[in-house]
Amino acid sequence: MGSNDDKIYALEGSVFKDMIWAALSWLRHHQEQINALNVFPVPDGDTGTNMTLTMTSAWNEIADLNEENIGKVVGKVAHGALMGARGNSGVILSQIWRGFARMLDSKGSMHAADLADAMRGASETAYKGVVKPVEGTILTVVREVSEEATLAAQETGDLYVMLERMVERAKAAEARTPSLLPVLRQAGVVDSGGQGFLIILEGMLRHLQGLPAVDEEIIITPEALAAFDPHHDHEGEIDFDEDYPYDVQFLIIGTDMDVPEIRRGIESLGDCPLVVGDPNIIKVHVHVPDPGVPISYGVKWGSVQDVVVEDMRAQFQDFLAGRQLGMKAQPEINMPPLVMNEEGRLRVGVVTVVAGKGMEMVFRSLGAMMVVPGGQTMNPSTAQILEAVKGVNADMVIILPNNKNILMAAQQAAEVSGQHVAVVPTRSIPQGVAALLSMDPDSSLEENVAAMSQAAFEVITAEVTWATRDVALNGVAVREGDAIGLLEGELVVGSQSFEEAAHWLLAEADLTDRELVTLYYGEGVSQEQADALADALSSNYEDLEFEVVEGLQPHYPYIISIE
Amino acid sequence: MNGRVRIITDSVADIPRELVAQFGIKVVPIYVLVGGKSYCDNGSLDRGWFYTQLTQSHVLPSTAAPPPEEFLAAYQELVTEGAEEIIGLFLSGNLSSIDDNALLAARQLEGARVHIIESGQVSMGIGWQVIAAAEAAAQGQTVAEIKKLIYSIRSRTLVFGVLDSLEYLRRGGRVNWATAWLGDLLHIKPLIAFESGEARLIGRVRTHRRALQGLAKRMSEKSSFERIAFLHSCVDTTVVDQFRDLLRDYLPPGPKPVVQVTPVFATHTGPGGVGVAVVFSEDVLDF
Repeated sequence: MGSNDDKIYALEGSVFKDMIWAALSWLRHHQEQINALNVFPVPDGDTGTNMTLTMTSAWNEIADLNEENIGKVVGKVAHGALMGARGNSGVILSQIWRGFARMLDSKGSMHAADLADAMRGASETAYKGVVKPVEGTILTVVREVSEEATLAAQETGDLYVMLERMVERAKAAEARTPSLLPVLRQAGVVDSGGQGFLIILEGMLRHLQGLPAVDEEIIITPEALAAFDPHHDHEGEIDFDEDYPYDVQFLIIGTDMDVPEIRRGIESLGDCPLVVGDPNIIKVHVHVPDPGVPISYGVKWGSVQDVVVEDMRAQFQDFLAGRQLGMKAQPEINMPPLVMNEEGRLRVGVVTVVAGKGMEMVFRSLGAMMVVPGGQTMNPSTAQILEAVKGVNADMVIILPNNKNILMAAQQAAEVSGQHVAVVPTRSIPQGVAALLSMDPDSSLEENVAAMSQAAFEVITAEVTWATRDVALNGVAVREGDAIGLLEGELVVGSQSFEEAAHWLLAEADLTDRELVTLYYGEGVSQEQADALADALSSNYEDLEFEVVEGLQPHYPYIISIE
Repeated sequence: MNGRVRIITDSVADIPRELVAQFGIKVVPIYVLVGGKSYCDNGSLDRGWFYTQLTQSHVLPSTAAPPPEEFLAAYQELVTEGAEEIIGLFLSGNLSSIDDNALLAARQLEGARVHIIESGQVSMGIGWQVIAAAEAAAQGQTVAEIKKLIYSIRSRTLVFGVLDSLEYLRRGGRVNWATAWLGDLLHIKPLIAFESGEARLIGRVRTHRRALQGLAKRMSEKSSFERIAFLHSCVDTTVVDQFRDLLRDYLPPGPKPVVQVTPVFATHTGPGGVGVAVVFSEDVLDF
C-alpha cells in the first residue's frame, strides 16, 4: 500500500462522501469475516451484517448528494446510520456517527483539530449510549482511536497521517480486546464490533491512499467465491425491483481480464451489480430483466461457469405467502378487541419483535398491535421499529424487543419517538409473553414498564438450537451441528438431539415454585414431536404442567418458558 | 331474632348456614337447570355431580330466578313472624332478573313494607351486606340507618378472584367486557373483579401461584380489610389455604368463612376458581 505524497489539511464534503463509500465497500468485503467473530456458537444476529446494513443506510442518505459542506454530509450520514441501525453493534455505530457529526455541525470543512474533536464526540456519545459500558468492545477501540486522534492533531495538521495513526491504534486496541473481555478469550476471538469499526476506518484511509474501494489485488479462490453470497446482508428479506426480476450469478474464468471494464459493463446491464475478482477469475452478480444478457456478456471475456439464475418474483411470492411476515397489522389474524380511550384511540399499544408465524399469532392474540419480524438472526433496524411505533394509534406505546441484540435499536426508536414510548427490555420470547400478559391498559406508562419488567424477570427462558461452530464455553464443549441448550442465554449443554437438550435444560433449571412449562416448537418440529417431548418431560416432572404451542420460529426447535 | 326489621336475600349470597341461623336471615333459593331438569339451590343439589355436569355436558347448566310468587311467600312468612319492614338484597340486577321478580312480589305484599336495595354484588359480596344489615336490625336500628349502612358497605365491597379460564363466563354470555386481552393460544387464567354489578378483567396470569400472589398484592395495597370470606368453585382446599396464608398479615378479626360458591355462580365461573369477598375499611370504587 503506497502512501500519499500530498498532505491533506482539510477535508470537504465530496471527499468525505467518497470515504464513506470506500468504508462501506471495505466493510461489505469483510462482512463474513466479522460475522465469524461470534462468541456464542448460536445462530445469531451477525455483527458484520448488522454494521454493514447500518452503514448502507448511512450511505443511502448521501448517495445522491452533491455537497461540499462536511457538516451537512456527516449530519446525513449520522441520520442514515441512526435510522438504519440494526443490532447492538449497529446502534453503537450509529451513536459514534451521531457524536462525530455533532462536533462538525457548523463546519464547512474538517481540519486536524476538528477530526480530533469529532472523534472525541464519537467516543463520548458511544459510551453514553450504553447503560453499562464494557471494555474490550467497540467502545474501547473508539475511545483509543479518539485519544490517538487528539495526540496526532497536536503533532500534525495532515489528516492523512492522522487517519493512518488512528487505524494503527485501532488495530492495536482491537488486538487487545481478548485480554480485556474474558468471554472473547474463552471463545478465541477478537471483538466483532471493534473489528467492524477498524474496517470502516481502514476503508476511509484506503480512499485517501488512492486504493480502490474493494481490493482486487487479493487472490480469490473459486471456493471462496462460491461461498461468497451477496444476499447474506439481506437475510430474511427479499427486496427486488420488478424491472429486474432475475438474479444472475456466475464466474468468468479467463486471462488478463480487465476487472474495472467488466464492472462497468455489468453495471450498465442491470441493478445491484457486484463484480469482484482478479484478472484470472471474476465473480459476477447482477439483477437483470433478461438473464441471457449478462451471461452473453461474460462469454466475451472468458469461460462462464457456475451459473445461478433465480427468478426473484417466485421468491417474492413465497415471501408474500407468509414465510416471512410483513410488518403491518394483518387483518386475517384474529386480534382481540382493544381497550380504547374516549376518542377511540388505544390507551396502550404494544409493538413487539418476533420471528415465526405461530409466535406472531401468540403475541397478537394477547393484544400486540404491531409485530416487527425479527429475532436472533434478523435484527430489525431502528427505522423499522420506529415505523411500527408510528403505526400504532395509541396514547402510550410499549416496545418488547424480545432479544438482547434488539434492545438498543428498540431503545433508540423509543428515544426518537418521544415521551409516550417506552421499552420493556425483554430478552427472550418467554419474557415477552410474560410482560405482555401483565400489561394493564388502565395503568400509566411508568407503572406498566415496572410491572411488565418485573413479570419478564420472573420467567425462566430455556432455548434449544444447534451449534454453528466448534467451541468450548462455560466448560461445555460442542461441535458444529450439535444440539445445544441455553439457559437464560448461557450455553449449558451440548447434546445429540434437541429433545435430549430440552431434558437437560429442565434438569439444570431451578424449578423451585415453578408450575408451568410452555414448549414453543419451531420450524422443522412437528406437533407430534413436541407433544411426545412434553409427555416425556411430564413423566419426569409430575408437579409441573406442560403446554405445547406452535411457534414456528426459525433456528430454535424449542423455546421453553418456565414459570 | 324475630324483629320488626328483617332481611331477605337469595341463595346466590352464599351465606354460611350458621350465620343465616344466627341472624334470622331469610334466603330464597334460586333454580339451577341441569340437563333439562330444574333443581332448587337449597343445598340439596349434589355439588360433585353438578361439577361433573358443568364440565362434561354439552349444554351448560343455567339458572333461573324464582317466580314472584315464591318471593311473595317468603315475604309473607316474615310478616307472620312479626316483620313490619323487610329489606331485600339480591344478586345484582345487572346479572339477573331476580330483583325484578322480588320487586313484583313486593308490590303485592300486605302487612309490611319491602325495601329492595341493589346489592351490586355476587356471592359473599351480597352476603356481607346482608349480614351487616341483619346485625344492625338486631341492634334495633331503623330502616333509614340500615340503608345508610348498606350503602357504605356496598361502596367498600369487592369480590374478586382467579378463574381457571374465561370459557364459562363467555358461554354464559356475561363477558363482553373481558374478551379483550385474553388470547386463545395460551392457557390463561383471568383475574376478575366484581363491582357495581359488573365483572371486570383486572389481570392475566398463567399460573395459580402468580394469580394468588397478584390478588393478594392488589388487595393489600388497597386498604385494610373489615371482613373477608374465601370463595371457591371446586378447588382443592389447600389452594384456599395458600391464599389465606398469603393474606395472613391482613386478616381482620371475626368470622372468615370459606365458601364453596353456589352452583348458580359456579355455572358462570366454571370449576377451579378461587377468590375472596372483601369489605375494605375505605371506599374502593377506583379499584
